[in-house]
Amino acid sequence: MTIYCSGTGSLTTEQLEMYSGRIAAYLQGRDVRFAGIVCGKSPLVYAAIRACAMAHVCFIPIDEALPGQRRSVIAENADILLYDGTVFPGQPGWTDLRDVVLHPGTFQPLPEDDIAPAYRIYTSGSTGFPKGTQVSRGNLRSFLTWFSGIPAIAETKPRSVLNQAMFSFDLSVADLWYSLSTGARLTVMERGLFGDFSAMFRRMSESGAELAVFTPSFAELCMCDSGFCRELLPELRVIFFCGETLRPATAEKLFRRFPGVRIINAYGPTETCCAVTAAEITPEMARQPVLPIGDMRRTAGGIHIVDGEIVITGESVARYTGGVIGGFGEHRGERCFHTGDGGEIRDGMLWFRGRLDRQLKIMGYRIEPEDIENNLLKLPGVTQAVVSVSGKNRITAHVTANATTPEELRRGLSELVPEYMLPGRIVIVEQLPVGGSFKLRRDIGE
Amino acid sequence: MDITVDEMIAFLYEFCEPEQPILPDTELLESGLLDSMAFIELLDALADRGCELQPTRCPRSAFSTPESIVRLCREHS
Repeated sequence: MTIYCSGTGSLTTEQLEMYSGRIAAYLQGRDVRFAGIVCGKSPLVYAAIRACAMAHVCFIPIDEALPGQRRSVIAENADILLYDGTVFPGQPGWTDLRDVVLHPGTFQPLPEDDIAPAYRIYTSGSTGFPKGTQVSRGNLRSFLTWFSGIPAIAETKPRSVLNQAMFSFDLSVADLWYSLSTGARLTVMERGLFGDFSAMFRRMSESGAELAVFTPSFAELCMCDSGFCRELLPELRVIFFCGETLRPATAEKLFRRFPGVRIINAYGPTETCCAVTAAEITPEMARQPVLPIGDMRRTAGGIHIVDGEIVITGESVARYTGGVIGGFGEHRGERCFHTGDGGEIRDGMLWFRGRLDRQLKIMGYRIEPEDIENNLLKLPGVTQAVVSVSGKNRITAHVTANATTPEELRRGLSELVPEYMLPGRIVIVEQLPVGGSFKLRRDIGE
Repeated sequence: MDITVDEMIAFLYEFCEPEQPILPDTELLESGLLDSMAFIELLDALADRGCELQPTRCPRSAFSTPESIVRLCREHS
C-alpha cells in the first residue's frame, strides 16, 4: 500500500519500513543525536524523518532553499547532515541517504523516553540569527494525543492527508507526524508546484485526501480558481488551518466550495509544538466578523490570559530552545511559555487580539522585524534599518545607506535571509527618526 | 473584457506596492512584484469587473507583464 506520495516518487509501507529501519540502524551505529536533514520532500527524506523518530534522534529540518550562511548556522548544531542526492546536490561532508539505504543494519528498538528530543525547528530570531526550538517526544505526544482527539479528526479518522507546508515550518507537524504516528498516507506538495495551478491541482486530485493541513493564505490562493472544489477533492472531510489568521470570508467560501467539509481553526506557537487550541468553525461563525482560535473545553495544556497575553502551560511546552530562553517562564509554579500574542477568553472560546510585540506573520511564517534589520545592517553602506509592515501585510524596509541601491541591498539580503523574509520594498532615505520608539518607527512605514 | 493597460497598471500599483514605476512591459513574476497576495487581489478585482480568470486555464507566462494580463482579459471576455 502506498503510504507516501511526492513529485519525486512514492513509498509503499514495506519500502518505508525497510528504508527507515536501515537509516535508523545507521544513525544508531554512529551514535548520532542531532541529524540535520536538508529537506526537500522526497520519499527518502520521509523515511529519514521516521528513522530519527525510531532512533530517538533529533530531526533538524534544513530547508533546501535557505541561503548558505543561514543554513550553516543551523547545521552547526547537527552531528550529521543527511540529504537525498536524487533531488539535491550535496556538499563535501554531507551523507547521501541513497548510500545509507543500500546497507542493511541492525536497529535496536528503544524504550519510550519523553525527554528525548523529537525535532528542532528554527524560526526567525530577533538577534539576526535563526532561533531554534527543540520539541521533545513528550511534547510531540501531547500534541498528537490532543490532535487525534479533536472531534472532527476523531470522528473522521483520516487515512489520507494532504501536506502543503515545508517540513521546516511547524505547521507541517500536523500532517507529517500525524501520518508517521498513525500510518495514514501523506501526499506532499513541493515548492515548485505552487507557481503552477494545474500541476498543483493534479497532485491534490491524486491524493484522495480526507484531511488537508493548510495555511489560510494558501487556501485563498487555491480559491482563485473555481477548480478548487468538491470535484477536485471528493473525499476531503476536514481542513486544519494554523499559522495565521483565518478570515471568516475564507471559511464561508470553503463551505460553499466543499459542501459538508469541517474547518478547524487552530492556534499555537512553535514553542508549544504546532498547536494547542482549535475551534471548529461553523457556517454560522463564518458570518461573524472574527473567528475564534480555540475551544476552551479541549486544549493541549493550560491556556491562561495574563495581562492580556496568552500564556501556555502543560505537556506541550518545549523544554529548551537553542540557547535563547526568551518567552519561557513560570506561571503559578508551572513551566510556561509567554506567547507574545494578545488574547481573550469569551463564551468558552479563545480569541486572538493581535501581537504584543513587533513580530509579523507573512503567509504563515513568523518573522521578527529585528532579524531583517540586523541582517540589513550587515550589508556594506547600511547605517540604519527599520522594518515595518504595510496595510497589505507586506514587508517594507527603510534604510539609511551610502553608495548603494535598493536592488543591491535586496541581492545582498537574499544571501542572508530566507526568501519569505525579503522586504517587498526597500526604500533608501536620508534620515530615520532617531531613538524612535516602536510607535514612531512603525509610523514611518505607513 | 474591456480594460486598458493604464487601468491594469493602476490595479497593480494598488496590489503590488512597487518601489519602482510599473510600465506596460514591466516583468511581474520573476521580480516577485506579483506575489501570491497581489495575485489573489488582482483576480478578485478582475472578477468584480466581470472577468473571471481561471489560473488552471491560463499559462503562467500570461501574467508576466501588465500588457500580457490585459491581452488575457480580452481573450477571456
